[in-house]
Amino acid sequence: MQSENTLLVDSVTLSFGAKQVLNGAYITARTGRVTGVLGRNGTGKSCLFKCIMGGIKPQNIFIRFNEERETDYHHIGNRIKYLPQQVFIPSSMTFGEAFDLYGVDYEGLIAFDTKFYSYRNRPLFELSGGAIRIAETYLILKTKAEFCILDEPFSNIAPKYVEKMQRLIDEQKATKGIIISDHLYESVMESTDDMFLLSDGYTFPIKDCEDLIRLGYLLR
Amino acid sequence: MTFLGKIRLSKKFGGSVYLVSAILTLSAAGCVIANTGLLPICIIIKLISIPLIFLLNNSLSKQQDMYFYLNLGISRNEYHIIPYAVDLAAFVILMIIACAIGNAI
Repeated sequence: MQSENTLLVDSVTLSFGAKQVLNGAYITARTGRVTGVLGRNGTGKSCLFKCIMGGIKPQNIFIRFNEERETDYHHIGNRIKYLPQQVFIPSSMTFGEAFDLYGVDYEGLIAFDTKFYSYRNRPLFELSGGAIRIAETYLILKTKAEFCILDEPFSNIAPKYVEKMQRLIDEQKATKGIIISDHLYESVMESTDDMFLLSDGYTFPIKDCEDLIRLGYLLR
Repeated sequence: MTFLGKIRLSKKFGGSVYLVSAILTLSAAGCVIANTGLLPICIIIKLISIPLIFLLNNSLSKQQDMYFYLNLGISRNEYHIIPYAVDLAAFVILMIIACAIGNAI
């Protein structure tokens, strides 16, 4: 694995019947940088991520890692880890099993927050949504990968954990490229080095809040 | 992840498929042992049951679970096909054994 990796996702076109969701959207990421993706509800942020992972089949997508000529689109998960919006650890599984499968040390999560000490072998349905979200985000960030995509990692978690997650993201970006999307745009802007706004199926690079106002993401 | 590893992991994501199919396959094996003439009917029932189980499993399972396995390097096609392919292979093997036993007794 290279020490510095680049990811280019380009020309993503996705429609559901007559509804055009993505219209040539693009996004880039690289090791050492956090890329933020903002957009109003229903603009296709999650769809873009799912298209990258192969969960949704778009009409067109181009993905390139580094300068490699060919991309194994079917096994993107070997290189990119994805945190979806909803709980993705199967309910029949425990945190301990999930961490073992992903090759992540559970003790690290306990060190991150001691309350997880007793959660290791408990079924998921006994745990709070916030606790599951924290554990899942930690799992994705700590799994060995070139890139990771976090879809709304700050949703449903207390401000204290948002700060801890921001610190963890900052620490992990040294070894991987991170793409992050959330409606808590201030938290996203604090964590990111590059920003994109998805609007009307297109991607717009963002420099500051003025761009977000101009493109209609913020009122003022 | 190796192909064998993916098959082993399919116990997790295809558990419900394996459970329902195992009931059907074992019932079919029992019938074939009792009367080998029932083999064609068992094969037809099995072939009809595959798309039915597929549709039922897809409508009842959480779509988000798939990303847990995609992250492990399993493709979307493998996620959907492996449990049915393994199940069909097990069915064929079990039917051959059942026919042999049925003919012997």
